[in-house]
Amino acid sequence: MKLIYKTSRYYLGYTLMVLALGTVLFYFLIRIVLIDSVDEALHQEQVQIVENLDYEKIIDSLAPSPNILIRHVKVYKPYPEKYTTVRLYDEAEKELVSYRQLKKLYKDGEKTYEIIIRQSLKEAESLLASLLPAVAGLFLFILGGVFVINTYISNEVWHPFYSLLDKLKRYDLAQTKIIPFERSDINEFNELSLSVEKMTKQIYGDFLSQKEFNENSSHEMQTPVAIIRNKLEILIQSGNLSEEDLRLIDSIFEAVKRLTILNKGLLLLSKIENNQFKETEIINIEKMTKNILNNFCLQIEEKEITLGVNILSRCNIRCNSILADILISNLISNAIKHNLKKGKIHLELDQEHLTIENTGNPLKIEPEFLFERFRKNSDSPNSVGLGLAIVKKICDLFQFGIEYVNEKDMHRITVKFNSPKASPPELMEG
Amino acid sequence: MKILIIEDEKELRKAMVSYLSEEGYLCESAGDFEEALEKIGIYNYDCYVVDIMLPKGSGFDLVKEIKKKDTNAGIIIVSAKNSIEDKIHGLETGSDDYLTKPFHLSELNARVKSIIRRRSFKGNNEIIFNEIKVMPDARQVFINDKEIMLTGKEYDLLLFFLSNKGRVIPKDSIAEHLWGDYMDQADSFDFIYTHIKNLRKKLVQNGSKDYLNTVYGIGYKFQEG
Repeated sequence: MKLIYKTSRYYLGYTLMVLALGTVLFYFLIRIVLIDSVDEALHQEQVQIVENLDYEKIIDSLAPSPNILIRHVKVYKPYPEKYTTVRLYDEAEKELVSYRQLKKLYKDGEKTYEIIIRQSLKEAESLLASLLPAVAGLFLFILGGVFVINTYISNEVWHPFYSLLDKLKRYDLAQTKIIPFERSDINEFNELSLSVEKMTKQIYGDFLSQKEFNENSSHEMQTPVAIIRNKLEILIQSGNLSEEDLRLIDSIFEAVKRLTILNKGLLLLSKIENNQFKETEIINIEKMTKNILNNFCLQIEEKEITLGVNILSRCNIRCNSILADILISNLISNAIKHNLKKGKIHLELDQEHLTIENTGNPLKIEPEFLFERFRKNSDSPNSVGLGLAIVKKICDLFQFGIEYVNEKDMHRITVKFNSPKASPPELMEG
Repeated sequence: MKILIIEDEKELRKAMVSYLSEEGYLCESAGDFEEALEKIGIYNYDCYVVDIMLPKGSGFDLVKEIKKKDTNAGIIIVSAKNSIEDKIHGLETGSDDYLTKPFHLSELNARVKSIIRRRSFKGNNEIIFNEIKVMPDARQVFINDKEIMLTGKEYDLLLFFLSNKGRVIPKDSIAEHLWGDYMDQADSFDFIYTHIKNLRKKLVQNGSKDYLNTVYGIGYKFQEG
């Protein structure tokens, strides 16, 4: 729920409550006041009648007007002036009408009379009845006002907030870098914007130094690795090495190879992060895939893997050629590496997708971690856990979607070249 | 044949000098930009191995110096950055080849040999090893003067062995030479064995002696006896 609706809701709720309560109180108050004034009028009339009666002779059932009744009562039970509200049938209107009536006993010698004076409450009631629509109208008026004011607030007052929110939503370390401070005429938003600027500066600074660290450490690693490798190559030229020596050297070679792969992978990742693969061109993915498969054919044969290739349509994608090659070869080599002996690989390509499916042991890690760095699923000595992280990074760079599905012993990775992720982020109104 | 190795990392320099000297080249080395500039100015070499990233200067400037003086010398650029720009820039300034660190010495050796061959024989070169003769420009292989048919990879493999004859070549060096970066992702090099077996079979069937030796676990050695 938008902030403005949330606050409006409270305002409107409060208004409604006050109006409802107010209407009820108002109704009773007015009613009391009206009845009081009617009672006062009745009392005045009664005083007048009593004064008159003192002079006049009372006849039984004296009725000077339809609303005044004077009658003789036999049972004497003294009571003070009695005001009540009664409902009586009105001949003229043919309906029940509320009356306010005053009863008073009047003693004339031995005889006791009862004076009943009535006054219709019809007018008072219609006055009260007209109160409700007036209140409802008032409420609607307030409602409309709240909306108009809120729209204005949303558009004008909250504008800096929404604009900042929009920038935060689109925030991408590599692209946006820092969200600069923007002055507005509201102190809180100024503070917010200033804090965001400070925060993004900090984040970007950390990002840069971390990136630099990654890059430098990978570069610095290269030389010692190269030295070990080259010295080993010289060492193995020596003719007097025992089988045990060679076994040891072989293990060192393996370890150095892993280090080299790790190093290359980290360097590649930092290069992609540094946007060093800017040039893009239209790439014939079909041709590229076939070339890569050709390079891997010996490994596929060695593992006795059945390869099925299904090219449904031409596939030309705008991408960096080096990265496209790395993307596809990493996926294919992955499908070979994590495959079973005499397993299967099925590759399908059309304009939108590249799907690679392979048999393999069940995944030992949670699928959502599959594309993270150093998440290894196998104990393969040449697997350093960077292959799929690189694949993910390349997909992110070119806004390709990537998806992993595991069905029984089949593992399927799909690259979607026209990912819906490529659509611009939802815009905030205002 | 004289080679100048320009590399600031002492141990790498020593390793390169050691490996190439064994091949019968006269190797000299320079550890920084100024020393390299001095040596380029005074002496003549057949081949230069130039590291791009040097203290106090860029290898590209050295390549320009070399080209100014001697257009016939072969130049191999070595870079820690595996970047296309460096490669293109290097080839534009006149270098003949480009190697990315870390590389195998057997790979460097093969590249140096190939450049020297091209430079010295201007296309009419041939490599002869007993009954085997290879014509690199035509990519032809003869055994006892009879041409034999090899696949592209088998030919590359044979040439690589011949360039490093008598040396133990680690199996990942072979894999990288033939398949480049694709090998980074391979989980085993067993398939290389199959490949080498095929080459050996073709050579022996066509009358060559079996020169290929397996060096326990580590790699292969192409040599007599």
